[in-house]
Amino acid sequence: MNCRKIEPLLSEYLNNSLSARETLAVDRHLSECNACARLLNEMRQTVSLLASAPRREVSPDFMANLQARLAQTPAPTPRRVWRDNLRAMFRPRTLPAWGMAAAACALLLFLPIPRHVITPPPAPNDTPVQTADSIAQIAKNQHVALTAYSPLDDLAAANLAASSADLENEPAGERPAR
Amino acid sequence: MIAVSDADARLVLRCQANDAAAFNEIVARYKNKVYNYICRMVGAVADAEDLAQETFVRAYMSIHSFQSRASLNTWLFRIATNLCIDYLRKGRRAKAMTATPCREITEEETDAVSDLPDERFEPQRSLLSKELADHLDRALQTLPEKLRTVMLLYDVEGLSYEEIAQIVDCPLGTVKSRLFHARAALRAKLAPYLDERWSP
Repeated sequence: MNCRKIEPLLSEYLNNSLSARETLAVDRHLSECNACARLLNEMRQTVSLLASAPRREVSPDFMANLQARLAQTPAPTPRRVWRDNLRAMFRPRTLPAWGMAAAACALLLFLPIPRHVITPPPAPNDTPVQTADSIAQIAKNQHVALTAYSPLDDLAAANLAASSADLENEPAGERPAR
Repeated sequence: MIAVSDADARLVLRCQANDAAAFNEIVARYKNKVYNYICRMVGAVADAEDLAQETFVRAYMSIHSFQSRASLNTWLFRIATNLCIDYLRKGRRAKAMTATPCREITEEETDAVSDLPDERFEPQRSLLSKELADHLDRALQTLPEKLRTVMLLYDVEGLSYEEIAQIVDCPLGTVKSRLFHARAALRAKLAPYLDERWSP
């Protein structure tokens, strides 16, 4: 590794948060490169200085002042948890996920879908296909059922009966030969 | 660490049951941490204390919405960070910290300690530390606020990468990158001083 690749790793090297492989690479580089070794040393000094800088403390009347402010503040009330959850869903960290989901939806909408994918599958065979012959057969069956229940209401049968009676009343010479 | 978190969780539960004493305990536990952080973030003593109080007022107001997704420590630093960023963006920079330094340990308090015989006591060394600290404060104020936030939270307050990512609301990789750039920038600003004092 060269200096340009090592330098960004020095901060994590100080924190001992590099992988074993990266740590070994940095160690090797530092043993050969004085510039990076010096940079690391100065960075370590900077961090040490920052960590050891004197800490500030609040003034003695901090609590009294805070109590006075809290006394003027209305009592806290339980908030709706769902509102906080909803707000959390749209925090900046989650926006990339929402963007990817929107892109995926847009892709699905505009992607050409093969015809066979959207054609519905053929109907199952539990209902027979009705052709003209089958419809005629159904009508005939219904007709037979009706006439069996009330044969006198059957006009066709009545006409047939009337024509039979006419034939019987006619003179024998006028009957057509059968 | 786990014990502290458990204690914090119990305090939060008591606060949510409107126990004022529990909230006072939270303030007592975190006031100096929060104040120290805000001081270094905004660099103005009067406003720092005001912002620290505002942090606890906001925590008090929204304690019922705290759901333990983060630790109490992280939550308070998040509130403080947002307040500091708002403050800095509004450009209400008050007097520089060097003009009116934040309260440190008082002379009486230091005298009480320095009366004790200590072979390591060196007046020059104390002066050097003060001088370095002032130089450091000035250098910190020149860093961009995003870099300063991450550096203070990691190197001063000792928070983890994950906790900082929650506070500043960005990925872990961004936190690591900002920390590197902050350290490099601060080192560059302090380099002449470090060279002069600490070069091997």
